[in-house]
Amino acid sequence: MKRMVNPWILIAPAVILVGFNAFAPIFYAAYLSALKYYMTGLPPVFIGYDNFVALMNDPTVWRSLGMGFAFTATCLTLELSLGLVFALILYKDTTLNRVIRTIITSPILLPPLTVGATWLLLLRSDIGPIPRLLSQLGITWSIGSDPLHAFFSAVIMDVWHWTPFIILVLTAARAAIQPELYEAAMVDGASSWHIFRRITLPGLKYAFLVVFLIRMIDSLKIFDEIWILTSEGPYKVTNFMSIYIVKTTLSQLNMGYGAALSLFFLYITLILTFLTLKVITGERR
Amino acid sequence: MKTKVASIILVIIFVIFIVFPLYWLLNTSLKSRLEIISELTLWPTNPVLTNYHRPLFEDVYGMYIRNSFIIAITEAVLCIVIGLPAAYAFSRIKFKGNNHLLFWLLTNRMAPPAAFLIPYYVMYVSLKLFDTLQGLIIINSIANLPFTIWLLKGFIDGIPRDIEEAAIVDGYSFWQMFLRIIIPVLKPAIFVSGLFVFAFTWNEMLFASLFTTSPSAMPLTGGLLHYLSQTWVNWGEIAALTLITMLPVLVVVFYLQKYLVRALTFGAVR
Repeated sequence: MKRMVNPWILIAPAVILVGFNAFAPIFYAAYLSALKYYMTGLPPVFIGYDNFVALMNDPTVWRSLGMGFAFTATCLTLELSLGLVFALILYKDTTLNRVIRTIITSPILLPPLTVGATWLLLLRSDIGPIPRLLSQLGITWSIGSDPLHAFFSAVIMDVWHWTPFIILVLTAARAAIQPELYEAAMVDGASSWHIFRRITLPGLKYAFLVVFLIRMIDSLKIFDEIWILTSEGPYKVTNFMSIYIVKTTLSQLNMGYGAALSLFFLYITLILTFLTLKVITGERR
Repeated sequence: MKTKVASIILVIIFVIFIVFPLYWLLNTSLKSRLEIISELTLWPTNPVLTNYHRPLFEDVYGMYIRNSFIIAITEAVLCIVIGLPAAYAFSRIKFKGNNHLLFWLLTNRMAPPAAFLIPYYVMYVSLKLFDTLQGLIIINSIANLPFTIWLLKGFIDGIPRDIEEAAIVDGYSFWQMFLRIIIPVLKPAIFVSGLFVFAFTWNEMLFASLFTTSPSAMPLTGGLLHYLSQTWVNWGEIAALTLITMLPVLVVVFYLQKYLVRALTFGAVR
């Protein structure tokens, strides 16, 4: 078909709107990051790249990033293994499986804020049923004072929120593997472990990689649920990068340093996003 | 047989794990203030609806709910109107840099919102967009517009080109073809994309809570966060308000179930 319309007319509004939204803040943040600037009425002072030097020497930054990666690794390990187990149990298209899959779909799109509020109601030591039941067994569970408890409370919440999604993805991938492969393997008398290793796992590899990368980025930038459940947490154990940036901005009003932190964090997620999109757009077509 | 029994038990435990928190939320929302702090009960001894009274009738929450609907619906319409032609261009027309441009659009969907907090704050104050519904609609589009374009592009890729070519041979202009052929065929896809954008916008909290201050602009997520941040709270009302905030999305998610995987993996898995 010959070109009926200039494609730039079709995409211009979208590119302008997203471009304004994306580039203006980035350039503005770059400008702010070169200032010593507190939102307290004092005039900003130009300090060049001193904010970035301070950032490199700020132990809280590295701790926040480290805790973020630890949180991501813990959540992903649990979510992907549970997801794999339940996808393999639930992949067949029976009525019962469809009902179960529908029920477990419910957390996926919920507002993250409400996920945090729900788990706060469950895990607060004064009103939460989980700590109160545990205390009857003589175990104290305190998200407010014990860093390990706070960390794992956040992990359980994330597992609740996202394992269903991973089950759905792996179910779709499992259902897409050709049944002939399994029939042939059965005829050849292959063991079930062998079938799992040679057919199921390779068939799920791509979906696994995609969901791993997407969840990794999501989990690194997690904010709403954590902000409600533990905020920075005891001993700043859940002071992940997004929390640290917002805290720096809101409570210290340190705009210059906050902007430097923002750019630094943006670059990290951009690199991971780049990798993810290469995998997604590269392998399919 | 043994593995079968084990899988059934595992599935039952997992379903309880998923359902129990939502059940507990409902349970708490129906309890009196005293019962919440006194004993643990699986169902309120005296179920009451008073916790729903203030969120629904007495306070500014009605305004918050209204604002959330206005923002989320406008956002969905905006993303479709601007995103659909772009999605068509990316799907059907090869032009210089098309893949790079699409790639760049998508990276914006993945950027952490917290990283934009400071520059947006200063920009929105100076542009007089702070504490307005329009301001939140514009901010939300940075993630939702790329999402819409990508999702719709996937749907358009799936339509055979023959019908468009036939329409052109019949003497339709491009826009006639677009309005009378493409849009009707895409109706279900447009609806699905719109619902996703509605849900994402409804869910947004960071900017909703920090970039609005007055009841005429603050969405429900902002209102809930502010209520939660008070030092003295009624947990029954928190539970009720949380349930109300969840409800529209909880309805939408069952309708979208078939499309969740495709939409949230960028079409990589279907």
